[in-house]
Amino acid sequence: MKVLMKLSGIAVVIAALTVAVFGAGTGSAKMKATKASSFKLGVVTDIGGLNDHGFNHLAYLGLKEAEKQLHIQGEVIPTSSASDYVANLTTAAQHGDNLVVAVGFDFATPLVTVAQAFPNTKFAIIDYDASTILNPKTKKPFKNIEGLDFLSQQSGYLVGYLSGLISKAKHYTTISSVGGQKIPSVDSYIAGYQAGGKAADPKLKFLNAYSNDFADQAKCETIANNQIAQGSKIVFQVAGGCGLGALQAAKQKHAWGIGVDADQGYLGNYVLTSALKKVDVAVVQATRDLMHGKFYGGGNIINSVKTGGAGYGRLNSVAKPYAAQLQKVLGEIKSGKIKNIPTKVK
Amino acid sequence: MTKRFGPVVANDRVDFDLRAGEVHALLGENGAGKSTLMSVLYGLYSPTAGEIHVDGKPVRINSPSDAIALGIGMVHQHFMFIPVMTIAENIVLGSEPVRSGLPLGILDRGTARRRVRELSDRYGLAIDPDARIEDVSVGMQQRVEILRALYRNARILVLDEPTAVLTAQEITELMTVIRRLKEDGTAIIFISHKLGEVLEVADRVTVLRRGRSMGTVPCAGATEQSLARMVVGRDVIFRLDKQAATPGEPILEVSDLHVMDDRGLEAVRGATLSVRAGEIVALAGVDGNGQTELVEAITGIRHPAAGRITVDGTDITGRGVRAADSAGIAHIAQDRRRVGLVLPFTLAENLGLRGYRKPPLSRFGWLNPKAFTALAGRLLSAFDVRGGDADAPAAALSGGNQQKLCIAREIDSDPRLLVAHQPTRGLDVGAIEFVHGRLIEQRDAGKGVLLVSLESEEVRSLADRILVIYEGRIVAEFPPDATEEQLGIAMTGGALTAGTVTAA
Amino acid sequence: MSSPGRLRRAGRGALIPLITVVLAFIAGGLVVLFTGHDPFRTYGAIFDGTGLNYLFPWVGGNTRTIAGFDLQQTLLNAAPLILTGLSVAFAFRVGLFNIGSQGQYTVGAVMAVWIGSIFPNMEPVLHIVLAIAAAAVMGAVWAAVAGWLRAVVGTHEVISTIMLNWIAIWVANYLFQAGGPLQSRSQAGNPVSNTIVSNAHLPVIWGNPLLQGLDAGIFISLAAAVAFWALMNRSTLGYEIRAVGHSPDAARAAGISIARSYVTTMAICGVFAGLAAAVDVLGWEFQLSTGDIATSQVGFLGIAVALLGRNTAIGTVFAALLFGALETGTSVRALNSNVFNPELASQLTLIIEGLVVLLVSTDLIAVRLLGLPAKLGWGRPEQTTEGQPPGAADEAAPDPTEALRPEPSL
Repeated sequence: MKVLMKLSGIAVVIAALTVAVFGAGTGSAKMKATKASSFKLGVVTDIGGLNDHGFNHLAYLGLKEAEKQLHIQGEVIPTSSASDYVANLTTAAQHGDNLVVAVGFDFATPLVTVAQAFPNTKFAIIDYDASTILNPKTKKPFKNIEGLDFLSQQSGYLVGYLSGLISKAKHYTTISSVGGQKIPSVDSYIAGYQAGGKAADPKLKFLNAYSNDFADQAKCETIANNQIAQGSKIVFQVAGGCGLGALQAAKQKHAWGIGVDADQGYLGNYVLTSALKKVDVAVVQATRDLMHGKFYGGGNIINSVKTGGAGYGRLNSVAKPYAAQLQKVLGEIKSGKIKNIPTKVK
Repeated sequence: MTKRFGPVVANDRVDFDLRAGEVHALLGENGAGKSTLMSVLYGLYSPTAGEIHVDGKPVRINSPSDAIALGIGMVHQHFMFIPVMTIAENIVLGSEPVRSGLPLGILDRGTARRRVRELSDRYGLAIDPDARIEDVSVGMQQRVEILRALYRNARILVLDEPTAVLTAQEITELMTVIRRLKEDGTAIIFISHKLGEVLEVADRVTVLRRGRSMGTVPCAGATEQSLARMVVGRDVIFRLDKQAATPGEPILEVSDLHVMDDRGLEAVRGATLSVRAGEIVALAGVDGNGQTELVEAITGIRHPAAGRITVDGTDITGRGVRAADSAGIAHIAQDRRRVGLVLPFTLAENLGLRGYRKPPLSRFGWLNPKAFTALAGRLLSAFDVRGGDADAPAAALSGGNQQKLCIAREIDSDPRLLVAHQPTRGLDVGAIEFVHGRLIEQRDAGKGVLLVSLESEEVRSLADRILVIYEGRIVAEFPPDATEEQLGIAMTGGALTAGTVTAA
Repeated sequence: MSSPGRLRRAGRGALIPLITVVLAFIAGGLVVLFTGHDPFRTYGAIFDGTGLNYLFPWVGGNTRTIAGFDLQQTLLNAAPLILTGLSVAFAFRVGLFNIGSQGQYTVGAVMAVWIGSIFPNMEPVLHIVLAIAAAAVMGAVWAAVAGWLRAVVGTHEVISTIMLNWIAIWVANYLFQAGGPLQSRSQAGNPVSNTIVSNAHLPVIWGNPLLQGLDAGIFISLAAAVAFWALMNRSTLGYEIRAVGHSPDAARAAGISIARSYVTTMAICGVFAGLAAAVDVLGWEFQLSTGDIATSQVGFLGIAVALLGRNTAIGTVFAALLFGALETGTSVRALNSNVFNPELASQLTLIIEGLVVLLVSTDLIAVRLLGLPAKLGWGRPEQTTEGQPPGAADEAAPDPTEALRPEPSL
């Protein structure tokens, strides 16, 4: 958590300083803050809960961040069972939240009814294409739902490219990935990872498997151990909390690990880097946009390397020497020189 | 030194005193309050009024550990052991000898075993300290219970119906042990239904009836008849008055029956017998010679391996309980608490266990509670079941009344054949009289009765024919006037080798 | 029949669970106190969170609207818990420990969502009945497998039902995963089922149909509780089941087939669990994701509900209402965050639920510790039984739970 704070480091410091300076200097800043605080932001997590070291946690950080930067009132409502989906969205709307962020695809169907009941509340759904959520009456996308989509394949490509470079230098033949479930948001990471790896080292072999679980570390550990036994030297986890087990396996078997979603470099030097999905940045951005009257109802905000919503995390000592090359690739993705990164795993 | 209890006032102003080196028997019908009195003594219940003195000093016994500290030891009717532990471990449990030195608290097996062996040698209580409880006989388990009490320095030993679970041989051994304990100065409270045993071993007898003491008398000068009168409150007929049997056509025919026991060993090995209408056939034998398996096969509970069982010519071999039931077999189970009754069920529900599938008790799979109540009302009064109404759980009844409940149900099914398996086990003299009367009544009504009993006295007084079962075979047949010796020899397999059997 | 005696016995039966719940709340209150919060205010907030303040006529305005919504959610949560509780309780009565109601629920949910989504234009009543029946039958089949294994092969039902739970979860996973045979047509790639058609929705009887108002499923649950009671106490089948549960040997001697009782009982347990799934899927869930299936606890909570309800129909209903209320009342959404930390609130649910289970399973100890037996006539009734180990004779329903304590995460 502390590390993640650092991750969004500069922004936090700047925001804090701004508040401190203005708050101490003049009374008008306080006025401003009070005025802005009538805006309410709600975050409804999925069943993973607040401490999932990923997704939900990042959304929560985004909310905290928005409270600091934008002086809004935030509330977070964790979900503990399926019967909470509609109820939690409803409660957030009843509380008068201007923007309700729903974390994950599980909310796609519940949103259909809640968005109908609260046409004046704006909803954002993370990792889901809002243009496919249709109002059953009009058969058209909802005007009050926007999607916060991530081009995770870009993050995957970057960490894959790094892996390829290291493999070439160290004569690794095989690298691998552990997915939590075969779903688009996981597969886009893995597809990008493989494409990036191939680009840096065309002879590289890839292993990939799914744990069908996002929580149980033991399952991912078993899978990673198998992959390492088959010669994998780098394990990319795309399985949330379960994936921490995959990183654990890498640590024990002296292989390298790559984190996902949040920066997991804090786990130790055996983590080369992490493929980032900056849900926190996306939440702050969506909030800021709506405060300025911008809302992409029925459409999506695409978070990419370009917007700062995707990228890679801290590089460890082995990865550091390749920082310049990675920056170059990042620039090429941004500029569109590298495009059409695959999103589907063959 | 004289130990003195008293006056204990439990139940209804019961006075009771016990002297050192004395065997004091406690007699009474089922439910007379013997166990309650002993539970008070052992700290399981606290007295509502009155007090207990040990060595002349008033004491409060609030828990079994208080009782143990005062030197009171209890041997329950139902043993309380940890079956997977060895005998020595079970005995020392609760006050284990511990090894000195580190690590602390390690059980000193050597000392435990040695002290257990010392005790067992001293009183002639033969046990194997290293055997596991689950592997040894009931008799040995009882000796372990006694040793456990002695190990805790018991000077007062309560034996709650100690002979009920023992074989004749084991009973003799127990009597020897009791005498030796007595010589050693231990005071013993001996609870029993069996008047003969009481007269044999006890110095004094206290009789309880309905919670009250009927007085304490010395055994010298007392007779079975006088004691029975005190227990029941009237004269008891020991010799049954019955007409000679007039047997009719055979009802039950068993031929060359083979039955396996639970462990898959052959318990019944080719038994052949028949029971005719209007006669009581007694099956005598030492426990464990296949009686249980034979009865279970006849009543349909157990599937025989081979052979044939017919009732009035209808083959019911291996057809199950319902087939046996509809062929007219009724079954008074040997273990009424486990097999004969569903203890938490109400009396009415228990009485319905035979007939619940048919009207009037049920129609189209739905019960008729009114019919149950009516059935209970009729049978409870007809069979004089006391201790609870139709809605009371069977568990609340005394042993004798529970047995009456079983008999009421079985006889009410109007059977052709009544299989009575140890029907008087654990019953007091009054209840035994009742049961015997009913069995003869059934015989006189033209039913067949198969009585399985371990008591040769009962066998000889009730039966019209006596069959002896030994190692799963019917080895001899006697008329009812056979002597105890004749039966004893046949029951222990002597007849086979000696060839002296006189099959009638 | 002496009905006062009966009433007294029933009252005595209700006393232990009540004491248990009170003790659990007191212990939970101590935990709250420990975290530096005011237990009284916290319980007040939880009470409001359950929506039970809706029953106070003086509560009005927006509070009333929210209370109504919360109460709908409480009842919505309680409805399946009644059914899974009955499913566990029914097995307990024959002496079996049905840990498998979660798996039976899962296969029932799969059937309900499948039947509910494949017929676009079926008559609503027919469609609902068909989906409910399919879920119940599937649950019954799933549970009967465990009963059959116990009866014929001797496999302990605790083992087999746990295994069947896993099998159910993985089958559902396979069916709904990306590319799976029942995966949603409209949500490419996401591991969710199709959404059931509106014709198969149970009607909403209170609240906004768009916002998960209370559906008619609660009536199915209550009807099932009545059926449980009638079946158990008024049918020959229930009579046999109780006999087997109390004393298999006596039941066998009375001609009751133990094996058949086990299979039949388990099948009925499965019907209850399947109904729970139907009530959820057709009432408010409308769709299943593999994540929902893996994280669902409703079957496991049923074990706690049955324990607290002492395996009786009426007890189960009240226990389920309590658990449903707790779930809603301690949810972050409903709990006033000024009174209690949202981060801690959901843990509080688990603590109270855990304490209830713990205390129920040790209730006699708890009661003895309080020194109640003498005053309440506890433990043994009147002492008329000779030579019976203390405490051998009481209890209306058997309590095979002494041996095993379920781990809700199984």
